[in-house]
Amino acid sequence: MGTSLQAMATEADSALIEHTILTREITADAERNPALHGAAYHSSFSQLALGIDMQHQSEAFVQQLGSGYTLPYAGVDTYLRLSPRTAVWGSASYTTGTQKEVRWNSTSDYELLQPYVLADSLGGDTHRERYAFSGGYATTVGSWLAGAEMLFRAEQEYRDYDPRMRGVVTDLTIRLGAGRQLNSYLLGAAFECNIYRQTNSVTFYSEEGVIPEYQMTGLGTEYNRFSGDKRSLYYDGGGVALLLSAAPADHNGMYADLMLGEHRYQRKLAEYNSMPLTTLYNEQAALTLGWRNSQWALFAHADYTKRSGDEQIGGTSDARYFPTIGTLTMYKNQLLDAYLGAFYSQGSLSMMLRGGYQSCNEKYVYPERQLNYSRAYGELKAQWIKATSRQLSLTVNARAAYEGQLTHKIYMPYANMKSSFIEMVNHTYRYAKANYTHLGANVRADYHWSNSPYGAFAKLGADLTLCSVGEHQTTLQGAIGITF
Amino acid sequence: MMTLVLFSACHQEENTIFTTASITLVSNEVANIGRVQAQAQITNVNTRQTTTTAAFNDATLQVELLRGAYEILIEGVATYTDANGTEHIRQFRAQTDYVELAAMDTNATTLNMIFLD
Amino acid sequence: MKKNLFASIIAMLTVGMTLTSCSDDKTPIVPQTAVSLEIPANLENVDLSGAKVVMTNVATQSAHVVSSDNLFQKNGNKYQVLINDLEEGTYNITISGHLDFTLNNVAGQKDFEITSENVKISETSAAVQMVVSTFTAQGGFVISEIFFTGTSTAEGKSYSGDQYIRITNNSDVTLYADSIAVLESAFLTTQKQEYTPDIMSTDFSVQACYMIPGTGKSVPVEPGASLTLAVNAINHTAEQPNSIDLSNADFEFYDESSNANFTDPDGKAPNLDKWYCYTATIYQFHSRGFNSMAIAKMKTTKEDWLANNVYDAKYLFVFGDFSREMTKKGIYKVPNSWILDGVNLSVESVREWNVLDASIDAGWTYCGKVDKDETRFNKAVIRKQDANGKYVDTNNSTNDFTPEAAASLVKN
Repeated sequence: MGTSLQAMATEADSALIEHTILTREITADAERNPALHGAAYHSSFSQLALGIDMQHQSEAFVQQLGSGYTLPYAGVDTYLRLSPRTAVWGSASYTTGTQKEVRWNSTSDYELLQPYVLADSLGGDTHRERYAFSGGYATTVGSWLAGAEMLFRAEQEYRDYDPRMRGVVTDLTIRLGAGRQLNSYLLGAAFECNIYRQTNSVTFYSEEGVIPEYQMTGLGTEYNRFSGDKRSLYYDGGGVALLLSAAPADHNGMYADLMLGEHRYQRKLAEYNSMPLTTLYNEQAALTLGWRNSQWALFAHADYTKRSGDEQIGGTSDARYFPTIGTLTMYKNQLLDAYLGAFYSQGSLSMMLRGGYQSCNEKYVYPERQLNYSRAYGELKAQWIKATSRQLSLTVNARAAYEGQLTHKIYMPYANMKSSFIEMVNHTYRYAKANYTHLGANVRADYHWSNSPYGAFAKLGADLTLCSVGEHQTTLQGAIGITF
Repeated sequence: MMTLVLFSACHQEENTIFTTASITLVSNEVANIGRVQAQAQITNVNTRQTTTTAAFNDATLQVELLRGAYEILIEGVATYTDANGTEHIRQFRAQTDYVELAAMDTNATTLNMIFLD
Repeated sequence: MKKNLFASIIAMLTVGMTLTSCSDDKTPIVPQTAVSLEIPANLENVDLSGAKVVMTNVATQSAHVVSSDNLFQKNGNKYQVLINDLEEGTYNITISGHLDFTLNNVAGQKDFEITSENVKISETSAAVQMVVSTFTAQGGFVISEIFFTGTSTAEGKSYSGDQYIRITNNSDVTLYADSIAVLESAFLTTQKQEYTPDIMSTDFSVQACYMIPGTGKSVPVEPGASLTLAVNAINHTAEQPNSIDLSNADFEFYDESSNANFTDPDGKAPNLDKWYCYTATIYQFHSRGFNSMAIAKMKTTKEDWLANNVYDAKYLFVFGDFSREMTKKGIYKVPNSWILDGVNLSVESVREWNVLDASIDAGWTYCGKVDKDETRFNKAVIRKQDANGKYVDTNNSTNDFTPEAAASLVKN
């Protein structure tokens, strides 16, 4: 796919096209295997970028993530084809900025650790700082491909007024992969291991006193005994994943990707001899089956995630040490995302169409609480890459999508809930059962100096999301940089 | 082998979350407690949920609870006969700040009665 | 012919309705739920009036109320009401009313309200039984208010010099407050230990004891009247405009401090007779309410009490693999039989136990939901009063007190 385009362009354009073409979305799952990632590109491509991502929501869609952010960043990405058999790649980035109006969440990495976060009803803006590094190496040994990759993220999030939350994250992932061509198929297998740590605390400087910090346990419940003034936690966790893939070596034929993963994160109180409070288990299985040739691809994908949470039953305290006298699985959440898709490419234009179904069934066992919803969605993406001259090329991406709710249900013991918790849960439900319309586009212009490996680029993008509850979200992205 | 590692790491859910608790009232002053009419408030020390029940069978109360640790307060009236065979009906209270009722199947505990008159 | 036609129409309608109801996803209806109120066997000539049952569906928050006395049927020692066509679900149930009765040949009455939460009502579980308790502590002096949080200044800072405790004559006759001592627990309700010997069932362990002096009839208190005992009986508004003028308090906690930097202002109110206090400087109530308080009629002399009521409380200190027996000193004990009234105080987020025997106080009360709660200032725990103006006293301060109430002497 894209070969006619590459024929028109310069060598630099070819590298850009090879690394950014929409087709890459089809092979992205398989290329998580570092062995296959090392064979994915014929050309080297590197870029250094300075950019900014900004988002604004008229009302926070998810209170725990805030109502927007401003995140300037600097980053470098490189992929070097050292030889036909060997490639190395790496990246480094620094991001700093602010998240606006984060409520009911005083913990970093909410989407990873929810519902087991520390929370209060007041919240506020937070500052974020993130360093991320990655590096990988792959080579061919006989008829085998072998590769290894390491990804590291260090992040700090904090608030400089009461309640003063602080989260410090370290997240390390190591992948080892292998591949081998059998007959006309390239088979791959990779193993991924992750180690995750976060220290999290909330302090108050006000002389008047404090407000309660809640140890949330899902769907508006809290671990009452240790809520209130236990404000120093840490999270310990990680997991493993297995990636299997099979794809036609000449990109013509059936292909399949399977991912199985299991991660767990334990929340511990720093004050009571590292007493464990809760453990979150995240089990995931994702399968893609498809068929492709040089112009077309048809595919089906299903992604099933089961999040379950154990609460440790605290015993009697003895000199500030609470033993665990039992464990109960109280929180369960099953998420499904399944879609059918088609891809078509002709000349400068590539298009991808997807239609799918999403469902979420979230439950707290006793006293019973439930929040369920399902949606159908459709999405159309288009990409147009045009080399306007020997030096200048333009890449335009556009996206339109619609998510329409099919079913929704909530069951809460409202009569026994605090009013602030009722408001929080109802806000979550209002947005969970809403319909969303997404429109977005971005334009990237690349200029290459003649007889030079260097180029410059500028990118501008905007997205608009309309929510049926009457609110909206706007996202702007801008970046400038050099390619080499 | 890696697949085996992955599948062996799967979470074993602990779905036996309820247990049957058997709470028996005892007293050093009395040999044979007959009928108990009392309201028991059984509060989970971790969740602060309170279960209230009056379903006494003689001096024993059986109740299904979430496995955990509890504070128990029982207030009411007990009917008993003393060594001379005289029937008494007296107001009492029985209380504990902490008792573990976390075993999977059944849990038994006793509480001392404090007579209020 | 007509009968057959009519029967056929009815059959068709029934089938139609059945098919319709099968396709609807409605909550099942429980045809009849029996709610029983059991009357203790020691009561005679029982008459229930003003009875009300409120069943609140916790999910929909809809309340089903039954409040007609005619619907409550007496059946032996139970009053029962049958509620028809409740939706299956989980309910909070409250039964309230008024009982007139005879107990040991003495007429008595009681306003009651009993609640049971998270009760599952279904076709297989459609009976609720609750028992009313008519226990009331014998009339006499009660603690009617404890103000320990202090007030807050205009700048939002705390001011704790204006604490006080009020005791009230809850009987119908004039009583004398001579020899009544205010006691503070030696143990915190926020730190539980297994102390040996465990004397709680017979004695109250105290670290402060201040007694109202008198010769026996020096301090008369009319029925319903109260005494205010201030930690500092001065006009606090001079220093803190949002505070209280306690210069007219009935008594004052006064200490001769051993530290010249911390002296106790001696207001014009008579001083309590200090029998013992743990501090060498100035006494104050725990400003977050971690100590329990009681009042007792001291039945011996100060010297005799100090000589014969020392309590060395031993406990095991454990930290990981290290453990050591420790002794908490500076504690005296007061027999529970001397105690007139007691109140367990704590804060939910840090509470671990009650330090008064359950016969004196089976519950606890509070100002503040968390430790150092910024909303706790200017608030007190105040004993509830019934319709006749009498203070409610069931020896359970969870039921008997209003927590986080506006302190009665603080101008709001």
